[in-house]
Amino acid sequence: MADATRSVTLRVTGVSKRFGTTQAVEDASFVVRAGELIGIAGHNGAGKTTLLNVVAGQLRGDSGTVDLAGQPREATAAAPAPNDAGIRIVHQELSLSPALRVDETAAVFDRKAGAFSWRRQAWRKLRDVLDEMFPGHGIRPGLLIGDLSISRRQMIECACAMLSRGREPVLLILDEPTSSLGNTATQTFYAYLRKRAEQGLSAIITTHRLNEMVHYLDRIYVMRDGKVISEQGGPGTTKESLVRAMGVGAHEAQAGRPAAGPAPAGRPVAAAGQAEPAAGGGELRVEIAERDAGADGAGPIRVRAGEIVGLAGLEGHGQLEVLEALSHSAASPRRSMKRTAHQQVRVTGSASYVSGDRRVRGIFRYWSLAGNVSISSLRAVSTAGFVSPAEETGLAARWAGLLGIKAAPRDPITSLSGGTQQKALMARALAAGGDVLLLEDPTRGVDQSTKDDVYALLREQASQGKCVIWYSTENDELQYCDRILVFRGGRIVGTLLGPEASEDAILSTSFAGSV
Amino acid sequence: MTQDTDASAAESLDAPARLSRAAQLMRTPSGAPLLGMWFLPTVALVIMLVAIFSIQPTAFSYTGLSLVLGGSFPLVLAALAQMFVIAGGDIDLGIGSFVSLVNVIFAVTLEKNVLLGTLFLIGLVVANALIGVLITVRRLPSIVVTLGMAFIWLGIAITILPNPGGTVPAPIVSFVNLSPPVIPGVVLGIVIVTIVTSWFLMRTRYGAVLRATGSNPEAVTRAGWSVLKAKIVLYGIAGIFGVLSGMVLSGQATSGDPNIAQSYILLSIAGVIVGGGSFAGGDVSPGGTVAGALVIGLMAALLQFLNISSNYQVGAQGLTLVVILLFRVGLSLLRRGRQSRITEARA
Amino acid sequence: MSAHGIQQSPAGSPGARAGSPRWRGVPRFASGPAFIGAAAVWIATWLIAGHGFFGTLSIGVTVATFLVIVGIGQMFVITSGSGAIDLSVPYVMTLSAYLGTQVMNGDNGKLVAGLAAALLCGLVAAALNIILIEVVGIPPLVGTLAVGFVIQTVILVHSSSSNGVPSPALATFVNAKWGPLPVFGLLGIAVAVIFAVVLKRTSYGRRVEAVGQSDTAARLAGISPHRVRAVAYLISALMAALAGMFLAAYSGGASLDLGTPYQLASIAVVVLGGSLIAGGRSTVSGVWAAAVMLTILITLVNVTHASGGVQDILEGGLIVLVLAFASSPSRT
Repeated sequence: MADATRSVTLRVTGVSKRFGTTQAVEDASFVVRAGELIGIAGHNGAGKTTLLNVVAGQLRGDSGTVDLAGQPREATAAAPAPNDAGIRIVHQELSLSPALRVDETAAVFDRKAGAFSWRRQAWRKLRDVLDEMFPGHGIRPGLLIGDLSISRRQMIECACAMLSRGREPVLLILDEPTSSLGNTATQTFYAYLRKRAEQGLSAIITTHRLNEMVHYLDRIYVMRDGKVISEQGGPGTTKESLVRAMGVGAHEAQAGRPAAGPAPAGRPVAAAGQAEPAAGGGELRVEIAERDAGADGAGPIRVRAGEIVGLAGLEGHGQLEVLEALSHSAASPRRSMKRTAHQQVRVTGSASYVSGDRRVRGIFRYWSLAGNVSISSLRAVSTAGFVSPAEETGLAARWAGLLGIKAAPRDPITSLSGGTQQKALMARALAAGGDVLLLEDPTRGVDQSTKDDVYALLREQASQGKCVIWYSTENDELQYCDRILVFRGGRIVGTLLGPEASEDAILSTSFAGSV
Repeated sequence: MTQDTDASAAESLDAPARLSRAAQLMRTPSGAPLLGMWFLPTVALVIMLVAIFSIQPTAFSYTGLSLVLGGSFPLVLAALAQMFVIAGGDIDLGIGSFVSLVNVIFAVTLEKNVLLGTLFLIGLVVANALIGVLITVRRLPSIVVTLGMAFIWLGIAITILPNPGGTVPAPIVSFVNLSPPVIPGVVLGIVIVTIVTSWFLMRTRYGAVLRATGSNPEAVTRAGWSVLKAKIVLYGIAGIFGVLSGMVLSGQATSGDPNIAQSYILLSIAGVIVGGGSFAGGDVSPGGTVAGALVIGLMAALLQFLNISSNYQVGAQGLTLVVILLFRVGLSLLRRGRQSRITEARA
Repeated sequence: MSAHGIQQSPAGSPGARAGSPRWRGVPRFASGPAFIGAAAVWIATWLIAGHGFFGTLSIGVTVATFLVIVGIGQMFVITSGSGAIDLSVPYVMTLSAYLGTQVMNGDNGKLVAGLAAALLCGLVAAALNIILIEVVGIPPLVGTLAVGFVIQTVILVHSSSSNGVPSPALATFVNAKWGPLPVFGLLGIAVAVIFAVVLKRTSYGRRVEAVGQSDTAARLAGISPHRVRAVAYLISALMAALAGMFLAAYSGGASLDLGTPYQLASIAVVVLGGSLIAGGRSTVSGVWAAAVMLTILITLVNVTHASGGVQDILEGGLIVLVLAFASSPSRT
């Protein structure tokens, strides 16, 4: 795919950047040719974002050159604003204001609109891009951003980035542009990129969705510890080859997908379509029932101690609601039944929750690792209401050891990488004990090595009797579950056995089920 | 990756889930809500006016309206000033002292020296804008900075006029009490002010930019706009409305008092909130603010007509605030259906 | 989302700041500027007045105790985040002063009853605040304001009847001295120490700071934000009631604007002391130091024989200057 005769849009040479004692980027070089879609893969903390910020001119490097469209500049020098340089950026955090309408939002991003009928003009421009990028998006100009779902907001985000201001774009820098988009939206988005690429536009994309990278992009650079260590592309590139290059340990690289086989002895075995495991299993912990199941329905789904049950299906189809309802049920004084739009759920026992949305629903950013870990176990580390710092540190150190957290208890939580923070949140939930573990996409934005640690941890917890309900947007990892509940339109439309749950199987189940 | 043919249907699932059926019906084809933020406070205002007119039918006359509404006009202007600051994501605790200082200037400085007085007023607007600069550039909490400014404005007012007194120049008094035919000046003033602010904030592009600044300043910067300029504009306009409020107040009171508008600090906030605004930044409604401020201000008139001691005025204003907000909570539950705020939290 | 006007960016949001270091250590000395300010004002007063090195401090610390008590209550509310603030404080102070002194009626035997009446005021106010804000969901700025307005009406209606007199024992206590040291001033320090421990060392204190940092994360971690904030409003109302009582004893009786100066001052000491207005991170010692600073400032103004207006200008100017030039802990 890489055509070496094409002109070079971006040539980055020897860029380095140090923050205090951390060498965030070290002697990084790469090339982007006209019309190429390039990916940059790497763990959190590998330096991707920093490097791209230097490229975009939003950060001054310590050394190196950035040559964009034949105009080189030192990375140490001030750079023109990205828009003026022909760069368009889609950031990971959303930049929209909830109080504005869609057409007003478009007008804020598009500086060319005139004084009169500016709303209609801006909306037309946005709509044209949206229709190309996401056909069938269903977005209307008068809707308030605050009333839109996340996936629609991300669509608008991506589309707004393409609105013209300043120079026509020659390079797109996209940071997790599809993280909240469904499958079709992702496909059409990349199709749009490809079309623009054929017209000469180049794009650099960073995402943790390695499958997407392999499928849609021309070449992928792999970063590790601030260096660009590998360039992949062409037929041999797979998710596994990327993972290997990203520097996972030898045994973990071999892990990949575990062979589908019989469940280990002593663990409950579920037959497909059954509401309950046929044999084995501990105490009943969780009950999930469809509210309009009818007399001939399969009855409530029962999850017992020691089971791992996954919630799958397209993102935003009711899984999160079930998870939250479970959390409320466990927190309620009498462990009462809680309702979602289509289910009623109940937890008998106590539950802890781990969210993958660390920044908003997870960490306490002003605290240390120890504070973050102990917050759900205050009683265990205090006497008569007074918290003992020594016990707290001890608790954190113990769990750091158990989970492989490479940080000291007193380290500020914000000094840890995303994967380490996620482990800290796991530690918090596990330290609190409890019968049920509720997981909300816990490996989101986390490096592969940490992911594997988490999978092993979950299997171990389950074998010790913990009941795990695991909502994940990465279908691959659901094969670690004993059973998978597939959601569609808020309802549970099918059950799969863990080992047989490939992405294809999940998707076909989610569309085969009668609604 | 497997072809997912029904993903677009899946994504459209979001829309109905987030809006209850009733709310869905009340939208224009472009998706805009038919009854915006201004609806509820306007209903409250109408109820208020009906109550007043039924108790005191003579109030529904030229003079009656001038008196009843006139008393609240300065508060409306102060609430609008507050609204602009709240739109930018900040809050202004100094508006009460600011308006009082303007009143003192009208009563003392302008009387003696028109040029000096005018310069002083212009200076106040500029100073307010500079406060905005300070808050933005140094990233200070506006609640405390404006609180400090409240002391400063008050101190200046006391230094100029230690005790109530002074005389507001006659031309100002006549202008403020202008009586055009058919429609009372106050009503005209309120309508003009509502139209102008609504048009500026909700119908111009820069108004959208200003509102965006309140909730997401980084994004606005990335889009190429200057947050600093936006804040200067917002605080500057707030200063202008503060001066207008002080002017109208002076025209009505005809004398000066450094503490005359102390209550405006909290009442202006009440007006914006009753008007549908929130502190989230950009989430305000000019029409709603005007209606909200009138509701709060008319409370005093209503009590007077009911022959209730003015002691209860403040309590009644508090209760009004609560009742309005209770309605809003109920209504927002209706609008959002039973969809929880899960997905919002993820954003 | 900014909580009533505060654009403080979250410290070290991972990945959010383009390329900036992912962590920033939590500053240890958030209360530093307040202490420096207090010391500066103290020394300035001594220099200008030409006498009263310890006297100034002694009186300052004593009179500041009212503000310390009220400020600590306000601090707990503000720490619990989500825009929480208690604007009903001055009204609770005034009402409890009236009610308490009426019950006491100058009788030492009724001291306890008077205090109980005052605390009851606080309890009722807290209950109203909690119902409106935590149960119904009205924004705190507005909810506490509305409650304050209602209380103001009660005060106005009530104060027209006979005015009470604080019991002599209480008045003596407030003005008492233990050798050279003011007892009331020591009480203020003791209260500060106690609540510093509550905030930083008890599980409740942890919960308040957790809720202030992230409501959602706290809920998912097993904390009930509503309950935590309810207790914070309770603390604030009780502290206001207590301070109102003491203030009445100090001034010889209740008055209509007894609490008015404390409306904005209670917020000012929290912020000047180094606590975040958005919640999640607070310092009690900072509240104490800022209260002392503001109190001595009043003396400084008096000593310079400036007119009343100048006093206000200086107070306001100090707040603005300290904020503008003290390094803000939230800078990126």
